[in-house]
Amino acid sequence: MKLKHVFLGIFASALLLASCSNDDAVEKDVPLGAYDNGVLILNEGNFGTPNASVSYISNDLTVFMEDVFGTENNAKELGDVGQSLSFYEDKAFIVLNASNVVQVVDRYTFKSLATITENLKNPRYSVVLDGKLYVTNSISKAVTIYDAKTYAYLGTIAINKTAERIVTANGKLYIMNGAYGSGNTVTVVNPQSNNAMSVITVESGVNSIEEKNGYVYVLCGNSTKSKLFKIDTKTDTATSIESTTLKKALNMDIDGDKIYYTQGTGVYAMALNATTFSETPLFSVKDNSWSTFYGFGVIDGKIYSADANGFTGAGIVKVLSATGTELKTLAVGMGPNGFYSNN
Amino acid sequence: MTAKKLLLLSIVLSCQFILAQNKVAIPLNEVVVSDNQLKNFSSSQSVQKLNDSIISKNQSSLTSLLNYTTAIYFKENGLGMVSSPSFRGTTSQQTVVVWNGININSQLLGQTDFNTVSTREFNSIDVKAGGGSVVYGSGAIGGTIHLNNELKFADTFKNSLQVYYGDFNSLSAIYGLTAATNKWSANASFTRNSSDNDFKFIGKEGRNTNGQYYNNSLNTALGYKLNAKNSIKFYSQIYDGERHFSLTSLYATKTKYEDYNSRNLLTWTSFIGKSVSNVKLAFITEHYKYFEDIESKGFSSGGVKSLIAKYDFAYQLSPKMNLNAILDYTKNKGLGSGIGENTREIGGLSMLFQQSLSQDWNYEISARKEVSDVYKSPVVFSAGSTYDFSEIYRLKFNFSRNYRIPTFNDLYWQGSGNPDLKPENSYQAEVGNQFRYRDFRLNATVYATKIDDMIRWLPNNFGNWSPVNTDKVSIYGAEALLGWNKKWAAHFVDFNGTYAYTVSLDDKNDKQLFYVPYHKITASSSYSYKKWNAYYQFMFTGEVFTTSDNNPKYILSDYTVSNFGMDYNFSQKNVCKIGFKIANLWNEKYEALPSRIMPGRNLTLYLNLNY
Repeated sequence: MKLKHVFLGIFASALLLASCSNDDAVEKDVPLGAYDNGVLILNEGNFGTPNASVSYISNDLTVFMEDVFGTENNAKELGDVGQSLSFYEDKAFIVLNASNVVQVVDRYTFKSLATITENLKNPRYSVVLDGKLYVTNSISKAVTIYDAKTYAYLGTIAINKTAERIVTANGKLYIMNGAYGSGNTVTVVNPQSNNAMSVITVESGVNSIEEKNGYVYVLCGNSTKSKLFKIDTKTDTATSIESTTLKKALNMDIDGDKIYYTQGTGVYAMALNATTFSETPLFSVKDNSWSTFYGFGVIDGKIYSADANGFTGAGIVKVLSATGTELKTLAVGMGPNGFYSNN
Repeated sequence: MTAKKLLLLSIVLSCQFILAQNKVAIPLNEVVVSDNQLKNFSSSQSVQKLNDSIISKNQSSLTSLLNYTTAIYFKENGLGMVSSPSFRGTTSQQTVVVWNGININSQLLGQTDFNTVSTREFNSIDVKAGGGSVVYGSGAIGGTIHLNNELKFADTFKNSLQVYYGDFNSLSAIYGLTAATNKWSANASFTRNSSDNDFKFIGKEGRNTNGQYYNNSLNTALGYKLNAKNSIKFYSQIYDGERHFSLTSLYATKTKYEDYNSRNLLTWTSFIGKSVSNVKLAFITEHYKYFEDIESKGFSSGGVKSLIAKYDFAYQLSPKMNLNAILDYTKNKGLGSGIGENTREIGGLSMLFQQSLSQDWNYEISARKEVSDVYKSPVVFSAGSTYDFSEIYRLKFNFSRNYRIPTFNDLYWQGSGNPDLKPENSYQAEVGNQFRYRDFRLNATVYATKIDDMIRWLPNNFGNWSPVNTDKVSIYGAEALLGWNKKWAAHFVDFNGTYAYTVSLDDKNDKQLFYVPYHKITASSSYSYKKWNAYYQFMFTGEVFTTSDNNPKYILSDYTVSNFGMDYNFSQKNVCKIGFKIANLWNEKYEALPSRIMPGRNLTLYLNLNY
């Protein structure tokens, strides 16, 4: 099959590039598969149609592949609404919201390993902690638990609130209780003490959550303000900074020692220990279809923006430098919504 | 996530309003139609009439009827599921369904779901191509579909029963009663449709799951002549349906949707000298419930109640000149999970004028202006003319401006609605050629349409979806309608065909609009010999793009579907027919939308009684 040859070629050239780029590096990073050393782009697809897909771009932006799941698995459908992706060891868990499915693949070869379906009710996000996969579900407002190696269903934790993004820190789970502008709390679950639960109140419009150095950062944005909370995971108490001039901040992503976020068409950055919001954008992008930042991510100082293109045609991904210089423009799958560094 | 799903669903279904018809009912005919403007002010456009014999040969949904008999393309989410039209290359919300002269498109979605209208309760259904906003209001851009109940003032007493039963436990039954004297007339029917809809996929493992549906409809029309100059008519329809939505992936959450719609219209007609006045009062409700998980009790719901008052005054200036003025007032009140509580008021004035310049030459002009507390609407107009070059050939011309106002969801959806939306705006020109020669009829029309400020829901940079006035579209195309019939001795043959060529371009990239086929063909033929009758139906839908960039990877293939049916009438004087129909005779594997597989060959048996 022709594609295979293309692949081998790409694989070989990726090897070649990887080996020449680090002349004096001591490490020998041998790719573990065609999709190592790059960024996975999740395309959610059209609601009601099983056309979610994953695209791949190498870290050096020279190798681009579309629909890697279909390519590696005999054109098998990934599913309906690819919501999110998480990694554990050499696996990737892809959450398909409308299909009620988590597809498990080898993160480097993208060969399908398993399909988890048990007790999923519109699953949203996932994370692995101590060998267990935790998946948030929007209809059941619960977190379902699976063995991350055997994929066996282990149990359910009722959250009884919107269960959206989920991160781990200090052996605990932090679950964002909000989506699409609503919600103002974070639920903390401690699996080590029989899933004891506590709730931290943040600000309405909770939209992103990230872990860094034992702290959990939570960004909230609404029509009156933007507010960033920093939760100390030892005590589960939060401190915050806010801006009432820069409202509706979104899309927080921490890269290195910087917190990145967007507001309107602007990209902003501030230090992890900032005491005020940065209100001057690094740069602004041209707004041509109202959805320039449907997906947003910062990886190794490069800014990835995903324009959903109205969900009617190929999504457009732009890779930009910290000053807004366009490094690469890609036509990806339908409705790109997230970027995942795969190294 | 609930809100997003609901929103997406709204978008999928997707916008709109209510206005209606008007004009002089020239002296009381024996048969009274409810929509005078369709009769008197549509001569420069193309109108295709589907009578009850055509209606009864097709499946009971409006989608199925129009798919096999007209050039309209349907986006059907699987058999019986949500179904949207594309008429002359326009969007789902740019075709209006008109019930007895009243626009009944959903105020929440702006469109009618063509699988929530059952056809057999109507005496006739007319399909008018092209703009009609002056008379039918918002959304009449691509065309209008007219559902008509007719009242007959002549001694009659008739019962009719039609029962259809077939594969997948599909039942369609309608019982109707017609009773009339020369003073009063009554017409009532009850319809029930239901199906397990669990057909096996062709060429793929599995069955259609969670596709079951039912609906009930009660339809009434009453007329009473007070005296020689005054009459009162009342029309009513109640529709109650529940559909589960078929799954497109194996483990997806099962959902269902319930519709409850009621429509009531009271008309008082008086003839005074050379004028006819019609006072109309309509009360229309729509209500839905959406269950995002049938295993739990929770649902979201919404509805709109609309009151429409209208004064329609027609005056004959001379035997060759007619004037018609319509003053109307509409109040819509919406209440629902997503839209809160909102009210909208619209007042409008339409003027229509028609003149015959000679035996062969006729023209009509009309205009409408409306005022609303919510949006600014343009002056819309229509101007048309017809000229008969000979007995055989008539030339028609029509130019119109039409519009579509934002829906309740567009304006008020919590956190997303955009109160600053403008109405969509369209200009359209068409030239029609009508040929009649003995038993042949051919209508060939070319048209061009320009639409701007099209409303679309898009995700924005504030993490939300919101509707905006964005797209501009240029459409041109051609349609042909062909008819022929012949009777000799005990034989009767007839043939009807339609063909549409449609180019609908997004001005942004000059690409064909997705889900608009370049070609669509329908053909049907029937042959009767004495009491036997057989018929064949054929539909070809060309390939469609499913993405705005016309990516060839995501083309939905063309499909050709044929049906065959046959029946025998046992009765001498009345109707006592027994028959069968095979749908999808050649077992074509096809999808009208991606991943929405349609059924293969299936059989229906039927009985029609009329006494």
